[in-house]
Order: sequence, then structure tokens, then C-alpha cells
Amino acid sequence: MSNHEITLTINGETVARTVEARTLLVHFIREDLSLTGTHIGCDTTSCGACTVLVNGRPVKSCTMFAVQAEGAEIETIENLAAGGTLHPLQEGFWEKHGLQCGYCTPGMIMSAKGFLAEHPNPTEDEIRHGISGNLCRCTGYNKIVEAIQYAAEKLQSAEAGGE
Amino acid sequence: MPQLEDRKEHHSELAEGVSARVPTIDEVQIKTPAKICGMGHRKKRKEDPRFIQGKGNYVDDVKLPGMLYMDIVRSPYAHAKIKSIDASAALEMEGVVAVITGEDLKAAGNLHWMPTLMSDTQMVLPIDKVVYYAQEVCAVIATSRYIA
Repeated sequence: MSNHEITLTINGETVARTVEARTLLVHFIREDLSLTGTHIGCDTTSCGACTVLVNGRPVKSCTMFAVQAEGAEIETIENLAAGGTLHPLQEGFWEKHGLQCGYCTPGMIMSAKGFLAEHPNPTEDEIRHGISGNLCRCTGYNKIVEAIQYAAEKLQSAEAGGE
Repeated sequence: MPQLEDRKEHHSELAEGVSARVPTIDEVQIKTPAKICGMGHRKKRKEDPRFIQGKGNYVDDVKLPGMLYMDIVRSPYAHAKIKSIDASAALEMEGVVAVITGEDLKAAGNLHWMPTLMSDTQMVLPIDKVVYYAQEVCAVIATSRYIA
């Protein structure tokens, strides 16, 4: 099995590591980088619990090799409350009870973050479509949608207030 | 002293009078502050902060020194006799610690069948034959999940 040296940025920090060609990005993040917030929920690229942002776009990290992330900017759930305050998405999930067991939550939040960056003012239907790659067994999704709506509003008014 | 026959109000009129005095849901004031008793008040969950920051400690997040990893070899056949299991190639690989078969479990004290919650028993690993597609045949234990 061939080994490769990769350099990438994770949550703003540049790291250089040697990985086997077969190492999945999700295992690299969870084990080599010890960032266990990103979860593995299936074997079939179905559940989205492993969703991270790669160059700003939501990607299921279980279906990408670590070597494919060479030179990329990766953002995981651990980056959102950097600086001590919760991101509006995290606030929304807490306020609106968008989680129960919490296992799908990091992937759900990262998907939502990538989605809101492209759709800052979404309709409910657009939100539901935007997170359709993320499965949740606990909540029934309604509270998740409310959480994302809360965050969208908060982000919009923060933008407006900042201008 | 008024006689019963003098009272002319209809029963329903009396009842209406009473119900008009009972407060509806909209009017009920919850007098007990949230700090004393949470009932009737919104409450944010205590466990959410760690989950929304990726700081939960789920089983797969646990890392212990000397941890080993298991992967299962599954049957490609729906119904087949097990003639033999040859683990020699796997055991030669660096990092493979053990290969556990049904025979191993049997030798370890009849552990190849386990009791279920329905008071019957269930096959753990097979001895003679596999009975469903992708049935577990043996378990490989190694020092990394990729080696396993």
C-alpha cells in the first residue's frame, strides 16, 4: 500500500501528514487529527453524519480519500464555536431542539452551513432539499428545519446590521 | 324561604355561569418560576452544548492505549457448507492479532450460540454451514481497522 505526504488546511491550521492511499478522509480526520466530532453512521454514503466542508462545499468525508484532500481547506464542526461563541446554526439547534441523540448533528450542521452560504434566504422546501443528504433517526426533521430557519434569519440580520 | 319551585333558572344557564369563571388555557398564568419547577416553562437541554460542538463521546470516539480493531468476514453465499476456514494468510500479515472462528468460540465454552432476549438461542459464528447471505463467518482482530 503506497504512502503519500499530504498538506492541507483543517479549521484554519495547515497540517502535513503521511497517509496510506486507502485512508478515507473521515478516518484521517477522526483518527490522525483526533477530531471526533465528525461521525460515521453508515457504510454506504447514505447518512451524511460524516459531512464536512471541503473548500466551502459539503462533502461526505467517508466517500473521499485523504489524498484527495491535498491542498484543500477543510472545515469540521469543531471550527464553528472557535472564539468561544456559538455559531447561529449551533444556537438554532439548541434553541429549537434540533437534536436528540446528537449523532447526525455535526453532519447536519455542516451541510446546513454550506447550504446557507449558497442560499442565505431559503424557503422551507429549499432547506429540506438542501439537507436531504443527511439522515436523522430521532427528530423527524421538523425541528432541524426550524433550527436552520432560525440560523438563516440570524445570519441575515447580522449581515444587515453589519452594513 | 324560597321554595324549590320558585327557582326558575334552567340548569344550562347555571352551568354557563360557572364555566364563564374558569380560566381558559390562554389566560392561565404559570405562577411558579422556572427555577423552582420547570413544568410549563421552555427549557433548553443540558446535553446539547457538547453535541452541537462535536464534543460528544460516542463509543467510536473512545481511544484506549493498545486498542484493537475488528472486521468481519462475511459469506458471499446464501446457504453453503463450511468445508474449512484457512486463516494462515491473514495471520501472517503484520498487525493481525487473531482470527476467531465458530470453532474457537465453541472451544471457549460453547460461546458459538448465544441466548437472546426472547429466551431462545442465536448463532454467533457458524460451525458447519452458513444460512444467509453476508452471514458472519469469522472475525479478524488487528492493530488497525485498515489492516483488519
